[in-house]
Amino acid sequence: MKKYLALARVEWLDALHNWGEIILWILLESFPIFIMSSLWLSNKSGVMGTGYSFSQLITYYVVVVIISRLTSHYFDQGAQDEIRNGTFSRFLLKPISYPLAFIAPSIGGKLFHFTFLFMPVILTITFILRGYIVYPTFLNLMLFIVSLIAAFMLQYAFSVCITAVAFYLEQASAFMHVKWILENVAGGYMIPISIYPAWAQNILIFLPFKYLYFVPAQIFLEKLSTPEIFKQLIIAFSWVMVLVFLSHRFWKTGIKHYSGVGG
Amino acid sequence: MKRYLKMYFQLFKFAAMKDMAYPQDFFIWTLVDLTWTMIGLGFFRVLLFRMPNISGWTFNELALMLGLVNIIGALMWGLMYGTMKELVRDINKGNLDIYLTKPVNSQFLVSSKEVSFSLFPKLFTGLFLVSYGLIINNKVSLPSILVISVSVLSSVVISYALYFITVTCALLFGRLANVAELFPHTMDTAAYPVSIFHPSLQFLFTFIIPFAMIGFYPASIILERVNYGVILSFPIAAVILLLISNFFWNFALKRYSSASS
Repeated sequence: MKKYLALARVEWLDALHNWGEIILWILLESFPIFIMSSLWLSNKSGVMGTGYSFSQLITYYVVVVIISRLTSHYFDQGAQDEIRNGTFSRFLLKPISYPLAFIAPSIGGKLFHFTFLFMPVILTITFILRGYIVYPTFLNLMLFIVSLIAAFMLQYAFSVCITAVAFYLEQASAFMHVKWILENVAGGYMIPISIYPAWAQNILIFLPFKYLYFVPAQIFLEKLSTPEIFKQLIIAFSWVMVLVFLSHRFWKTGIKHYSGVGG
Repeated sequence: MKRYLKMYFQLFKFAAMKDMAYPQDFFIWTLVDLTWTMIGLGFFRVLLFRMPNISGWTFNELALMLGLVNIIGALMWGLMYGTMKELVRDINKGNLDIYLTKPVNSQFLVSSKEVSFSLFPKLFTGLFLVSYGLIINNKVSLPSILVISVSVLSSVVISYALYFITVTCALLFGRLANVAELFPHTMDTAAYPVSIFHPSLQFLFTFIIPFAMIGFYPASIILERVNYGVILSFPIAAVILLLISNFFWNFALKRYSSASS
């Protein structure tokens, strides 16, 4: 456990060093809130057909950015590069279990982001948009946090799969886009899934991606009843178990293809 | 001028050869770009499935605007993004010496390094949407073609200048590896009618960071929502921003400290 804490601490220190970049990422990720708020504000009549109130839609995008900062993993791109250029070998020589060890730096970085950068930014946004933000009950807030754990683990499973593609293919970085596309479209990052036409909803509702953004946001907005939330959480954690297992299998098979050149 | 055009052609050829060295990569990235372009369009289709128009713009009218934004987006991703990322890397590693010691304008040299041909799906989608927008709105005419030509040429220069200014900030603020992502993200605002924003932001996106010149105003001119004379301000804005980018580059270079030998 100590070695994983050390990995988390290294990421914390790295975040301290690169705070300028982190602020930039937070600003970039806050952009959809700004655009979508303006869009709905200018088309208040259009909000009626969405099944959301104006405040709920604004809150939806604020919550989506919070979820993104707290649950996304960023190890895939760096790890893919290291697999491709062979420097990944140094990780295999250490007494650390990969890919599970990718979680520790993610947590270390997130603790820093959340405490020093993300909270001030999000407090500023909620202050600017005060009156438009919908707050959940204590129970829903707790269930929202539980749903974030599922989203965090699902993101981990997807990132492991994307990283492991680099064991098989030279140009694996394009697969990062597959993940982003699925998050954006099927996860509800761009638009709440319930706004899609019925045929699209009927497909997306059966996929695990909705647990990345859409379902946690629905819990926060109190759009689901308590029994329905529990049902969704059970399904989400079932997906977590299946996908984490499959991603680890994919990783183990992939690592047999790995060849590192150089010292 | 002739010398620079010749040099750009050579650098472009070299960058193109580099990009096409792995045909498999080209096909994968073309597919990725095509998917993103379709998602961008699908997004507006879904929005307009729930609302009759976006700030008074129907899908047929938006098509013209989105077409122009896609054309500029394609040129930005294909000709500028890779170059700007490389420039940020060179700034952070202190590798700019090689460009600064050559008897050529350093801004020109650092701006002509990379090219990606996966831009084609976005470019063709843009051209298709512009054609569709002109036909469906019954605006196929010589003045429309002229407006499109002037706006595309000006918008390329405006986008380049704004992108270059943002990336040059890495010289002033030290380690900012992701600064090359700032412009493409903020350029997303160009895909929406500027009228959806607060009046102060409308002013910002028209006069200070003129994203509205990429799609909104050219489409408004063609659809006769705005006077034709507005098009004259496009090349002027392009030249002013290009000069500012050059001035800012030379100013920021004074803060540069090399790390290479």
